[in-house]
Amino acid sequence: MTMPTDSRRLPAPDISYNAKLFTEIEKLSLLDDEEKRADGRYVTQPRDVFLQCGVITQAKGSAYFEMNKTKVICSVYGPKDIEMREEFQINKGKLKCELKYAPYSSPKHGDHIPGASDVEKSDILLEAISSGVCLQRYPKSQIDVYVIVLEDDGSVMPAAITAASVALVDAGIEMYDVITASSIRIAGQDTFIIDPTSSEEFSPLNLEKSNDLNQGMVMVALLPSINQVSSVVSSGHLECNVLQEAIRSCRYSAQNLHSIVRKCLVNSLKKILKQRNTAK
Amino acid sequence: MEENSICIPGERLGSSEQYQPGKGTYVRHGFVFASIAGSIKKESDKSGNLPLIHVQSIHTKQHIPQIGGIVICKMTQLTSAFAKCKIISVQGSNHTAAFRGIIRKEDVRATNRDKVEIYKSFRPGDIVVARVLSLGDALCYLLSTAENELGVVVALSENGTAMIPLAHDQMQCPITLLKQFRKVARPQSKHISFPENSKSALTNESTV
Repeated sequence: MTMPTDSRRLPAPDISYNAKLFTEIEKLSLLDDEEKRADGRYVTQPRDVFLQCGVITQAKGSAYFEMNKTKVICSVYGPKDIEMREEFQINKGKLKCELKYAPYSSPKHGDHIPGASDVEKSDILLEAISSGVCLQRYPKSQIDVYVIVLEDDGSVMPAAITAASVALVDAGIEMYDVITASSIRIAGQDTFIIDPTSSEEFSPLNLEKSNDLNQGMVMVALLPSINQVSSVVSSGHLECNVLQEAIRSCRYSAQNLHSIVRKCLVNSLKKILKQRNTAK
Repeated sequence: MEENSICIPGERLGSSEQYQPGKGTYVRHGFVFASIAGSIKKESDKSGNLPLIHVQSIHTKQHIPQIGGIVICKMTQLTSAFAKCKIISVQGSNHTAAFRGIIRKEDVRATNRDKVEIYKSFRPGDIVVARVLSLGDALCYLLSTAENELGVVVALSENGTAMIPLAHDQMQCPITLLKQFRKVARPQSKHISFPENSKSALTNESTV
């Protein structure tokens, strides 16, 4: 039984602490003695990926992206008439992004109502992909991008951004470039862990056993063929030179993803052409 | 780069001194880049200009109404000053979420503009071919039928049969012989693909 709530009173105490803070903080070691991670990868080794476009037939364009246990699916609708009159721009199209976690995506059962972190992630996604889309070629129109995280095992944002850009290309939307993204966990000045899983991702309760203050995460979205960064997100405590080095590593790893994205898109185009030729 | 090869957005197709950028491309720092995924097509220009390079989309592309373009729309709401419609097709691509359009009284026909009566030009449910005048306001595209080739192409009479055009401003039901006023379009096969049920109406018209 829950007490009836008083809407005029905030029931929470003025100051509260997470109970975990009073227990012995378990400082994890991200690397074992052989410099390998929990899943047997080396620090610079990203997970194997699987990428396919055209997976949702109802959508104009779609893509499925998988990095071992991190799985996202993205669908693109439009260009279509704008829904909200207030957001109207005469000379430019509007991009609408929505990132959602499926309720079964993580060990903790999620909520159906989007929380603050979902809204923030949708905004990061919008920022990362909007500079890649030729929006001025779609005046008065709206393009909808929906990403659903089917399973979350770290590095969700890079997966979502890459999937969204492949789905946009699949929808035939004009773009300056495809967008690839990558994230890095920094655990000390010299330890850059590429493509972290959820147990390796940075959180205040998940600190590396070291005295180095440089602890954090960096995510970079890149337009690989014109080599421009469209979005950088960093969290934690990072010194300037460490951050620079982390961004450089992220760019390198995002650049490596470009060949996979290209291969996937060219294969799907060839498949469509082949189907068309056999139909004739 | 071989002819007919496949490209994805962001791929460099050549220098802008070498090619003229066409559809599906953009120019950046003096180079032509692809902006859509598709096959690369090159067309040499006879008049001595640079050869045109464009990317042909393999996916079915969704077109959006452009100024000066022809659209097919369906009438939804009439007032004495304007007619509202929804744009159901642009350049052959069907729209699931239709764009909205408006035809003002002055834009219905080219002659006798001030004597136009909306109720004598369109009825709700008519299929109309129109030209996009401007992008209009936040709600609607501004459309015009002030050309001989533009206007009503399919209209159903009260008992649901397609009506036959009699003149530029009149249509008749072949069953009830009821005559109604419309802003009739002169059929132009190169612009319009007609639905099956209106074909009989067209063949009849050529014999009238």
